[in-house]
Amino acid sequence: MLLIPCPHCGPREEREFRCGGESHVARPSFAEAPNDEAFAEYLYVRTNPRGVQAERWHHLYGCRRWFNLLRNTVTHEITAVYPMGAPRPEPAP
Amino acid sequence: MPDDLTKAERPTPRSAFAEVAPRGLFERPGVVRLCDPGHRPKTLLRGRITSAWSAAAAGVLGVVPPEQPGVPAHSPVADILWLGPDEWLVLGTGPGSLAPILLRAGLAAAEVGDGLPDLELSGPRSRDVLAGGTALDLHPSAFPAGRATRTRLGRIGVLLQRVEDGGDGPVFHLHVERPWAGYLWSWLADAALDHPSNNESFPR
Repeated sequence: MLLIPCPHCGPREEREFRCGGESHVARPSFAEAPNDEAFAEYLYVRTNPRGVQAERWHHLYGCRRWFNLLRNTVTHEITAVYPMGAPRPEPAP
Repeated sequence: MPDDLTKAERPTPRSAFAEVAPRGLFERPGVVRLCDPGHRPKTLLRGRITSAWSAAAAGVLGVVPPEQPGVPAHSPVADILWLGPDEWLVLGTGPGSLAPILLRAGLAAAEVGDGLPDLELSGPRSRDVLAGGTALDLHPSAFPAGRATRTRLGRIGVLLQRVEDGGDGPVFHLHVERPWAGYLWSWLADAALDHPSNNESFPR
């Protein structure tokens, strides 16, 4: 089980959360140029890295807020927590 | 709709625990005691914290709603529990709901007492029984009397409030959304059977 540092409630157990998948997947501008290929990519294509990934998480059983975090998909290490809408933080050197 | 059919005119609804606990009481001596304290008004308060908003809320409630999780704010009028960064539960100390007064002060409030019943869990083993269903650290050093938080117990979400640490063990109030009230009561009563009671010569 992961211990996830909720930015509002502090560290809580993983079962209190729901994972919302990869962060920073930009929705194509449908109004300007309807494009099936771009929309299919937006819906189905994910980076799925071996290493650090940005994810959206929802503290469903706590404060019910969404936030982003950086998680290493190999080690499960969580290196950053940041608000929705914020850019992805640079990895520490 | 005629006035006599509005919510305020209706009689107090049947207890949310009536299906599973008609007497509103379950006791396993030496382990836990479950008690249905009955209906009381509760108000859900929403708002983005600004100095004007805090002043308006404090004007009605007598105290500024807490900005941090955990420790509630107390005043002679109400206890205010932190639920989220823009969400609070106001437990009025009077018999009536505070929602109309908060609404008149220009705050977003809703009366949720009918939909959010609570039960009282007390007894020497109440912490052990809860620990079987939640990952929260319930030791007094991490979750002392006076604290409240939403968490997950068994398969459902509850608002867990440690009211006091009495001589007979801690006293918890568990606020639960009404559809899950029966599940919560049954789960706690069932979990209490895992612990040996004073009345039994051998543990089951």
